[in-house]
Order: sequence, then C-alpha cells, then structure tokens
Amino acid sequence: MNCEAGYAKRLLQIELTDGNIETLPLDDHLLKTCLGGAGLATQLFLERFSPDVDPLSKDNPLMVMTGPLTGTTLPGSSRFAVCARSPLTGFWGVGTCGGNFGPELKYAGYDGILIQGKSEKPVYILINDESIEIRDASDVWGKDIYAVTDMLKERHGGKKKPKVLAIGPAGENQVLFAAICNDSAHFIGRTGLGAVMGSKNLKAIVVTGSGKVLPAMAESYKELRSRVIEKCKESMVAESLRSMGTASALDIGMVTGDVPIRNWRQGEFEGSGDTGGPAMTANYLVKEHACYSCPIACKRVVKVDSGPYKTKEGPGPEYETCCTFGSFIENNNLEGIIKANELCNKFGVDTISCGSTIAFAMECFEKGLLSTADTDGLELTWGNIDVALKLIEKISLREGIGHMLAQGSVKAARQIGNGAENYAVAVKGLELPAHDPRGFHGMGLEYAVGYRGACHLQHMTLYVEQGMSTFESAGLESDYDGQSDDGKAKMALLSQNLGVPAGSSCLCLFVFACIDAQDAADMIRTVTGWDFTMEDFLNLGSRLWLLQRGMTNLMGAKASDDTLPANVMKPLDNGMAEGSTIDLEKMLTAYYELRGIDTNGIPRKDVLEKAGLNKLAARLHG
Amino acid sequence: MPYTHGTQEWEEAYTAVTKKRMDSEKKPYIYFMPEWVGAWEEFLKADPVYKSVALPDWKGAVVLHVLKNADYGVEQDIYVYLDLLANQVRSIRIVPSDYGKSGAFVITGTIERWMAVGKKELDVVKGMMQGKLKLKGNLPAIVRAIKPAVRLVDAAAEVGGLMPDAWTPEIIESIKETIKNMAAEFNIN
Repeated sequence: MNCEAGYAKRLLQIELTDGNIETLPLDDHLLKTCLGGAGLATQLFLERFSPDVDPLSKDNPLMVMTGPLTGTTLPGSSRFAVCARSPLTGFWGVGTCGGNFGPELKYAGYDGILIQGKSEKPVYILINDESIEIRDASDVWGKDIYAVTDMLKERHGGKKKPKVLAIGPAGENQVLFAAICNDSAHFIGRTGLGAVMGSKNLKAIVVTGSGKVLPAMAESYKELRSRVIEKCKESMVAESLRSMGTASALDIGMVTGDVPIRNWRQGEFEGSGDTGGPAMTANYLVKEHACYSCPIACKRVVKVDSGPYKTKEGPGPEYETCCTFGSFIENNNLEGIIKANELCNKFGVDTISCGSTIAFAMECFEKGLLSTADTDGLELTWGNIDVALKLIEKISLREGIGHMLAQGSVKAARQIGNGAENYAVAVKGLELPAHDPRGFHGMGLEYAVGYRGACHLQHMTLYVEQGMSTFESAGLESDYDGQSDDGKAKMALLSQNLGVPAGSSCLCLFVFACIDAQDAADMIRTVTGWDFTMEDFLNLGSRLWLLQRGMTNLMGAKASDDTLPANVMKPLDNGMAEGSTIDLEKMLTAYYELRGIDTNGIPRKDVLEKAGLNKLAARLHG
Repeated sequence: MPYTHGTQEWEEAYTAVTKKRMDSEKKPYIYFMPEWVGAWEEFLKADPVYKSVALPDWKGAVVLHVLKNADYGVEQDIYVYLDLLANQVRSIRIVPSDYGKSGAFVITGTIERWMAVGKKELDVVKGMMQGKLKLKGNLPAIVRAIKPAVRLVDAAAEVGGLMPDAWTPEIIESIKETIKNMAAEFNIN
C-alpha cells in the first residue's frame, strides 16, 4: 500500500497476550498536531494508557512510530522512534533510530505499531504488507543481535531481504538500559526500551513492504530535494561526518572542553588523539555506511584484524561510545573500544548508559565503596578496558556484579549507598551523553530540563552552541560562548522548538544541521501538502515539547528533578573547561519563565491550553 | 623581472625584504603584510607550546587564503603559506597563488573573517563548521591535528597586529603599494 502525502494514516495494533491484531485509522487532526514519531506516540499514550504503568509490565505499550518524512527520498528520511514508559528512568521513554526499518514499515502501509500485552512464550512479529503474523521465537531467543538478525533475514528473505528490529540477550534479561537494533547496525539505545520489548517476550519485528511513500507536491518536492542534497554536499558538518563519522567530534571536543574524562572529573586526557575519528579512519575503517536515503553516510564499518580485541567486520563505535569506553574510563586503546562496541551491539545494550555505569563503578571502586569482594574479583581500575569488556557481558547476562549494574548507575548507587549517589552522572535516571556542560553550559540546561532525562538529541543545542549550525532565521544567534550562562535559556528553548518537530517528522538531525529551519518546514509542506510555514514548524515544536514534558510530569517528574549531577557541578581544575562554573539556577529560572513552567517544574495551565493541550492541562492541574 | 618562486634567489630576496621591513616598519605591524608574517614566523619557531602540541608525524603545508577586498587595499588574493613538518615551523611566506593553492590544507576567508579570527571573536573551528571559513584538504588529517591548528591561530592573535578595522586611508594606500611591489618582485599574483 502506498503512503499518499507522507502518511499511511493507519496504525497497526498488536495485542501479544491474546494475539489480537487490528489496524486503526489515524485522523488528519492527530497527524497535523503531532506529526509522528515521539510526538504522535506521546499523544496516543496520553489518550489510552496510565502514566503510572509499571514499565516492565504487560500494560506498558511499546510504540514504534514513523513520521511523514520517513521513507520519502528526502535526505535524512530514514528515521523512526520507539516510545514507552522507561524502565530505566520511570519517566517518558523515547529512543530514535536511523537505518531502514522505518521506511520499510511505511512501505508495508503503516505509520506505526502499537504493541500491547505480553506473550506467554517468546515470539516475533512478521509483517508483509497486509499479512501480519505472530511467530514462535523459541529458536532465536537467547541469540545475540547479529545472529538473530541474520537468521530472520535468511528465513524470510526472498529477492528482497526484510528489515529487522531485534533485541539481544540484554533485552531478554531486562537490563534497564537494553537497546533495540535495526539490521545489526542502528540502535535505539536510550531509556532502556529493549527491556520493555524483552518484558513482552518479543524478540523481533520483521517487516517487508511493497508500497511507496509519495509526496503531495511532487514538483516542489523535487526542487527541495535537490536543494537539500546540495546543502549537505557543501556543509562542513556533513563533510566531517562523511569523512570521519561522528567520532570526529572527539578530537574537536578535546579543544573545546566538550569531552568528559574519568567519570567527569578530569579535563585532560593524553590518549584522546588515539581514539577519535581520524585514528579510526586511518587504522580500522573498512567502509562507510549510510542509512536509507542519506547523502552523508556517517556510519562506519570497522574491523580489528588481530590481537586480543579482534573483531568481525561490523558497525564502528560512534562518538559517544568512543568516549564512554574511552575517556570516561581513561582508556586510550581504540581497539578495545571497538571490541566494547561489538559486545554492546551483540548483547544489545546502550553504549552510553553501559559505559557510564562502568565509569561510575570504577569511581566507587576507587573511593572504596566497592571492593573485589563485590566485583567478582575484578579490579575496576581506571583505564582497564579488559575489565570493562568483562562487565559488559556480566551486565548483559545479569551475572554477579552485573546484576546490580544492569539497573543503571542511579539505582546501583542507591543499592551501594554510602554516598555512591554522588558519583552517578545522570539526570532523571538517564546517564549523561558525552558532552560536558562545563564546556557548554547550555547543554547542561538541556540535560536538566530534558523530558527523557539527560539528552543531547531532542533539540539542536549541540549544533547551535558549538557553532556547527546557526539557525538565525529561527531567532538563534550565530556565535554563543560555550562557557557562559548568558542567553542560554532562550537558546535552549528555541533549539528545542527546532529539534522536537524535526524529530517527530523523523528527519535526521545531522541533515537538519546542514540546512535551515525553512528547509525543514518545506520538507513537511511538500510531503504532506499542508499549508505549513516555518512559524508552524516552531509552534509545533513548542507544543510537542510541552506535550512530552507534561507526560514526564504525569510520570512523577518535579522541579527537583531538573538538576545536574554532583560530578558535573564541580569545576574542573585542568583542561579546556578549567574553572568553568555552571550557574544552573540562573539558567533554570530564566528558562522556566520563557517556557511557562511553574515552580513545581510543571508547564503552566494557561501555557498548555494556549498550545491546545487542554486534556493534558486538566490532568496536570485539575 | 620578478624572482622565480622556489629558487634560492627568491628565498634570499624574500627573507631580506621581510627583515628590512621588520626593522623599519612601525609596530604593531599591519596584518598580513610581510613584516607581520615574519613576526608570526619568529614567534612560532620559538613557541614551546606549538612544539609540545604539534604531531611528530605531521606533513603538509597549511595555507591561509585571504580573499581580495579593494576597500582594504588588498587588490589581489593573499596566500600565507605555513611550511610545517613534524613539530617544526620551517617557514611562513606570502607566496604566488598557484603555489598557495597547492598547499595540503587551504583555509579561505574574507579579510573581515580573518580579522575576527585574529581578535578571537571567531573560533577557527566554528568558522569552518559554519562555512565562514572554507577548508580545502583532507579533513581527518586536520582534525587529528586540531590542537596544533588551534595553537597556530592563537599564536597569530598573540603576535598582535594592526587590524583592518584600524586601517586608515594612508595605511590602505601603503598596503596597496606593498602588495603591488611584492607582486612585481616576488611574482605573488
């Protein structure tokens, strides 16, 4: 079935408990006010489910959502979102992903899948256009992500191979930061949604579609597509990603104070030059890899040929992974990082939360809060990548010390006690991605107010504050001082208003960083045929940010959760962000005022109503 | 007849002219004039910071390409060629355009952009990412050398100099004259 004007206008609903399968219509109003992706998932959750749901119970729905751009031929149109209440944080869980699953789901004629209930036995879902089956997964349960993906592709592949979304053993074991993987290379890592999938005994979703995604305004679409491709070709951001992958940010970040070191306590790391994009490109790159319809191709395929960290040819570590298994633990062995990445991928864990939790454990070990008696005899010393590799396996299989660490750093800290909470570097239970707020204060504000916890992806602050993109037409300045609090509240708000609708329309933020807000609005306009301006884009951004923030508030978030961890609030005594002190209270006060958030940390009733979120306003304020 | 670039004669004459101007011109030197380039070279050759951050296996010239702007008296593009090897700054010269364009890494910007870099109002990395400065060359190689690259730019700021926004009509006339003479003598067209 073709998706006309960007949408299939239908949702596949699968009840795993009784096997009931339905197709539900999605009306125009819902699509125009939520776009797709996480925005649409949030609205559906709000209307149909309780925010108090136990994240690992059958009652927590798992939603796989595309957007209007997904599956078009526009650059950056590969993306989709997965949402549920997060078992890691207890708040609204959002993970997004590139690859090819989202487009294929659209080709099959669905804007999304809503999975409810829990299967008695392990199963996978097989979608082939109108044919939907729930199949026995007993022979693939326990398999790692690479293996299960290969098996299902082989089993269900004809001339055209299906696209696969799968969990690994970590998801099966409900590791709270378990990931979901598309075709062995693209991960929904954040907020532990792989554990939700595992809690439903759902191993995989396999999809094949024969339709197309057609734009409403074919001629304008064609012209726009050429324009966007040209901009991507010219952009230095794109060139950097194309030539070195995301890990190029590590080398640059070392001279801007962006890279966290030694569980966020150091500003200098001698080995950083050995673990970034140029080193990976020179020594381990087999080839570049692109998501569906992407002219940038930021993905790396790498291989370590020999030695203790020998790997098969596979996805290379992203910037975040190079940090969490590199600078976070003071490891400068890139081969070890590539091996850690391979293990995390196969077991299916988020490399950010996993590496961060290991760095946290190393600090606890250093401080004497953990000893070898607690760690199955392992010496959790800085720089010890071999121990990190063992911990990845223990965490994924919930063995020994791994059982405790599988809860993430915050819950593990509570279990350890004795002040261990001071060393967990997370906001709202989500471990910080590898961008140090002391180098870029606005990022600290984003972490603090983020509806899914510490997040670098639901906004454009990363690009704007670091000067990679400017978005002056949207009201942003072209040159922010990273180590300053001034102007950051407005910057964060506008960056959210840009990033959220880009995310919900399912536009890749790397492509967005190469174009401007008008181009993004034009993408939605030409695909949907709506009368859709840049102002509409930004207003929708504000609305969808409030919607998701309100959802996290319904799940219990308060003003006191809008904070930064102790290790980050302490100034560094060396490195490029030496002495930089974050005045979070000042930024938060200004931000709350601008966004219309009350002193309890909840969007004000009048602000929600003005955004058309009356039901949410009623639930939050009575 | 101008000297032929690449010959011993060109190098000796260029060095002599630079030295003479460094002795005779008033400080602060005018940005991008031979005496300022000479001062930058002297500074970097003696700079322990650059030596400590430069890559021991670095090969390749970095060229600052200043786009012409008649309003500032710069009536032709200027190519400032930094000959770098390992942790050594071997020389910095204003060179003929064909040679400048052949540098491994050519960073191009307007006079205003370079002035902003010199004043530390524009971070060179941000400038390249935002397209305010254009880089031609192998990006992974220069990203790998980001620390020394930043040091080169910081050193230029530390050397100081008379910025284009302080150039009086008399200075602009002298710049025109200097560039014309350099073109005639050193073939830097």
